[in-house]
Amino acid sequence: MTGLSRRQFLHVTATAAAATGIGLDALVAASARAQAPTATAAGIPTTLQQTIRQGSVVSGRYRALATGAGEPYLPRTDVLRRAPSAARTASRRSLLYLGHLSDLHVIEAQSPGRIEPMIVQDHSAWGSAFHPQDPLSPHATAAMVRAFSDARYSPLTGAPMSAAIVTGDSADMHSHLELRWYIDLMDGLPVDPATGGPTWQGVQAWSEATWAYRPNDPRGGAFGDYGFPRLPDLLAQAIAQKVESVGLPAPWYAVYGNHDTLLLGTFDISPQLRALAVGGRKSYTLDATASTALEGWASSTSVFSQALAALGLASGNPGMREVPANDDRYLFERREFMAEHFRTETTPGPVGHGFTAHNLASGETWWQVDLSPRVRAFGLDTCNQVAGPDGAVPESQMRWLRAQLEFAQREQRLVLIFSHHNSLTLENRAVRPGADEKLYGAEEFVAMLLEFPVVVGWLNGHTHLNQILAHTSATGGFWEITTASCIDFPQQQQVVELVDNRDGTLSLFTTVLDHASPAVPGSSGSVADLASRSRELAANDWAETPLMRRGSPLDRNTELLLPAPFDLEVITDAQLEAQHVAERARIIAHETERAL
Amino acid sequence: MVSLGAVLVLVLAGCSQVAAIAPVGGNHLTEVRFATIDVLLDRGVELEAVPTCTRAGDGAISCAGTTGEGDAVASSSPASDPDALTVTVSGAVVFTGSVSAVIDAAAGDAP
Repeated sequence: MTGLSRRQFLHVTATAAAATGIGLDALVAASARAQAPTATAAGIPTTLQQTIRQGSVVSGRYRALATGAGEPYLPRTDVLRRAPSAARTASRRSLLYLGHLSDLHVIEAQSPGRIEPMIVQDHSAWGSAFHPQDPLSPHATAAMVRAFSDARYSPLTGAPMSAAIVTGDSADMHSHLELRWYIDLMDGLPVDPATGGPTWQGVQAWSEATWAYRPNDPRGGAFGDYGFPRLPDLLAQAIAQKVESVGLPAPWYAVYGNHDTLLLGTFDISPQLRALAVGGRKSYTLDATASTALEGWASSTSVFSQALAALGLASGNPGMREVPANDDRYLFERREFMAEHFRTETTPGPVGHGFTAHNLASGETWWQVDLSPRVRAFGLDTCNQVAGPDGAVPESQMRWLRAQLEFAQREQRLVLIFSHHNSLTLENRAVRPGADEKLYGAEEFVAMLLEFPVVVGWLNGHTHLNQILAHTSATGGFWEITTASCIDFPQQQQVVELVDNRDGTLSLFTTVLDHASPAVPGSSGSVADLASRSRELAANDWAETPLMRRGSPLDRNTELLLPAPFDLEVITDAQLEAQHVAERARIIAHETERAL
Repeated sequence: MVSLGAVLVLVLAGCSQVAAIAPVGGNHLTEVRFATIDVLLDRGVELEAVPTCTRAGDGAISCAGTTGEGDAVASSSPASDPDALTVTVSGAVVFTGSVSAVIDAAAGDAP
């Protein structure tokens, strides 16, 4: 098989240069550099080189983080079920290099629409309502985007990044402001965290909220007892300047997560909560959170009234403080999540980020896209619209996906599935009274995917941990890749590369990314230092069982082998070369625009 | 429809349903799987089928896989003591101890 001829190469390169506005000479030179991928890979910061590990005790039980050795790729043969050929390393070629982000949980921590005091009731059960690092969420997200930009060329093959997928839970508390911040950070636009004026306004600044981590003076509560540090400048630094983001280096796509569907990913959104989010009073006690959230029901339901009275939680109790109201904090409707993805930059694009005009018109929240001439992706919405954090696959999507997979099988397209929920969390069959659409669980969903050998990977998130599972049939199977979150430790995401080994097998390489920040935070107040502090605080947030979320080494940097579902020689080197020239041109434009 | 208000009443009344609807938290099955793999890799056991884990009706976790040579690997952790872990290779016990200790050791560089 041969690649592009000299004439074809120049034509493709000139076309790509014209499309991106970069010089032909620059693009030709970049293509020449790409011929030496190993030299390129050595300079790409990933966990292949080094990663973050737990360090020594700082105070009490609070530990610092440290830089540890890199982790090499470990081959997994669960699906292939035989030893792979050693010769594959010399003959492999990249079919697709993809970024995978999930569970960003962008948080506007000063919002009155949060329910942080719920941790007073049960810290472990309600740990996601309050994290000590909440004010630093935009900084951690921006540093993660930077890590993807830094890894815009594959550390394995040097291939340019083709696309990125965000598998849900992008806005933490259903706030329009959080939704806007997430999109802007992906696009490379700055966001302004000073939403309440020049002084931090929230539970972490208020001495009354002894249950919270208050960096000005952590004494008097569980976080102080644990040994969380006194950082009197932290909250001021968190809002002192706009959070700059370099932007993703490739077109990015998005699917719904449960936090993009329900409040805290779990509950219906009441009129009371909508009013609270844009109002000027913020709760710092469990009683006040209960009374404000319950206000409507308590006045209309005798059972609730009695429960409130018995617990001494009648509306109007103290526990609220005045904060500057901000109309941009309104809680968005389900459809608005899609619509907001059309308010975006055309570079890296695409406008809609997977959602199309058809989605907006029909209300369908799932989509498909060809990421390359021979790789097709399906973005699903597995979120339950009634209650509960976990999900399922509705009948309408099952039918649609089956029909599309039949096409893909006939057309010899490799298939990637994107969803928020994973196979351990697809069991939520809660439906509204009178609703009759069947909801399918993991067992039925996986069984259907196994019917189609062209399905090679299922990328998802939800459980905030690194985990890779094999799903096998009598003759093959596919890989399920779950990535960690950007809010809980280890605050890692990953890149995934689909590689043809040219021996009748495929490999999916997974490479974990730490966000672009030092292991030990400095005091500068920079995005990198604040992101670093976010990760350190997260590593000590004991209620979230942080260390287990790293997964095992077989869930991080891996080579996942499987049999090729058809003769991959139908994908010509010329096709791949043309694809890479166009993608390289886009990345050079990104580098030029961002002065990288 | 489950509202936050309704849940709050259950929460404040100490209802056990809270754990079922509370957002993402720890998971016995997942922790046992991670710790099992950590133990096996630490002992240099090459795996063809990485252990997959299931939860029994009583909440106990059991995992099963195979080595590169086709030998069975297994692990178990009872619901009554979720931090307890036993790992076997070809029926021989290679580890008994604490799930959390394995995970903590795997994450740390310093004692």
